[in-house]
Amino acid sequence: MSQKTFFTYIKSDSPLVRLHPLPKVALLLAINFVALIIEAPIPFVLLIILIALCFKLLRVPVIGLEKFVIVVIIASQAVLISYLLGSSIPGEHVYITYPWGTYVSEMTLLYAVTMIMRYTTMLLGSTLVLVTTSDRDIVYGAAALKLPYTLGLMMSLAFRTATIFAEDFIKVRDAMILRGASFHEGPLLERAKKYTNVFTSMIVIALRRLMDIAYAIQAKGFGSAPKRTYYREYSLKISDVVITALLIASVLSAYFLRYSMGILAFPGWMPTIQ
Amino acid sequence: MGEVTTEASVKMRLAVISGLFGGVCATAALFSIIIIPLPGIPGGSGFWIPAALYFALTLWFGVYGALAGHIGTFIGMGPFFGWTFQVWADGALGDFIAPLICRAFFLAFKADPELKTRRDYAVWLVSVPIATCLAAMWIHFVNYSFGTITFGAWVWGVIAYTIGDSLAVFTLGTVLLKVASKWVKTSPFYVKGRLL
Repeated sequence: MSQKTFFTYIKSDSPLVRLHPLPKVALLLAINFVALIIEAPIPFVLLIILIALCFKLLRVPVIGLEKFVIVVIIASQAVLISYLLGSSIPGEHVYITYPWGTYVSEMTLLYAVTMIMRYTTMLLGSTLVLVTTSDRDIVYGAAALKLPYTLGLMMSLAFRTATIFAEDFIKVRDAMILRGASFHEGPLLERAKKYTNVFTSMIVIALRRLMDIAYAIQAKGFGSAPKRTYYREYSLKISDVVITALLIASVLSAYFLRYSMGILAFPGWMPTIQ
Repeated sequence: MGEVTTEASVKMRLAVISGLFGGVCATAALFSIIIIPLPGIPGGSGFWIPAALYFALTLWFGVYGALAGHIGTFIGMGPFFGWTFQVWADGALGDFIAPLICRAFFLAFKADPELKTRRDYAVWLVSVPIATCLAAMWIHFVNYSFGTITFGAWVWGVIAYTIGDSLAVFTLGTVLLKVASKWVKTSPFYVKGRLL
């Protein structure tokens, strides 16, 4: 049976789909935190290979991943421009020195590539988790972390209403086009003003819908009982606890290796505010 | 018959504000990125329409309006920049802080979101650039911490972000406040005189 996730419908035979929301949230956070701690290029290469292997081993489809390749290319351009024009990272060879005092060495290129790998790691890791996660998992994950369930409700509502409002947006815009408005002509500010009219209508639509939903939720008794029960039962197994503990340990280990032993630090240079 | 309002039901309504308007902000973010993209910056836009929405929402609904911006930005930027910790920490958290700073100004100077008097306008005109500038400093500090930009690019990033966001807030936000504030004030969701 297929299950709807953030990106697509996937078959629920992947172990990640069946995982409890708590280790899923922990995995999402752990990948991002470890990537933030690491600053050395080789560990990033290993981490990217490990995540790519996880896609294969955990039978996760690469549907959401394909479009992010373009994102990585665009982001890489921004990172490269920023480092090539505005950094002073010492190295053995200086290739270009700019009049404003910054220069490009072989370490500049290595550091820029490392930062691109950091971003890629986060993107790959987040995609790995989210392609197998539904918005319901986020709600139950928040509950498992003992966060107020209203937080999960907010997220769930936002995810589900975003598509409804996208349709509203198109309806209002099309109505304006039928009355002669053009959204593709004129200077930027002129076009922005036209979108102002669309979003003013959107706010009014949203406020009306807000009252309907708020009263409907209230009528269903949300918030009346001090302790909530849940329609779906996610039982936390020992394996889920062990996975979560291992993920927390991996973040702590990365922190220790980076800041106490310097193993995961960038070789030969420490970033400072210049 | 009068409406029975309990503390729990009020909390639930306010949560619905964040969730529902989070959806509106996400839609606005998606269209901002598609309509006016920033070359070289995935998930960026030259005219951040949701900024105008969450500034107005925060002046109406307090922290719950700011949360709508926070959730909306995270969801809206995700398809273009990935749902990473960096996106949450910079864009989404920055978009949570900025409108709250603006609301703090409004509360401190007892200004009205309806923008009735010159003082209201003065507070609006001063607080928005300050709020967006502080948010921009935070956002680009996060980008710098994640290694996406250098410190040299930080300064230019802050300037560009402050101008771009302030422009969007002034263009759309002013109209929204003038048009919708009166109506919102009459609704049971309006949050008056409280920052959080």
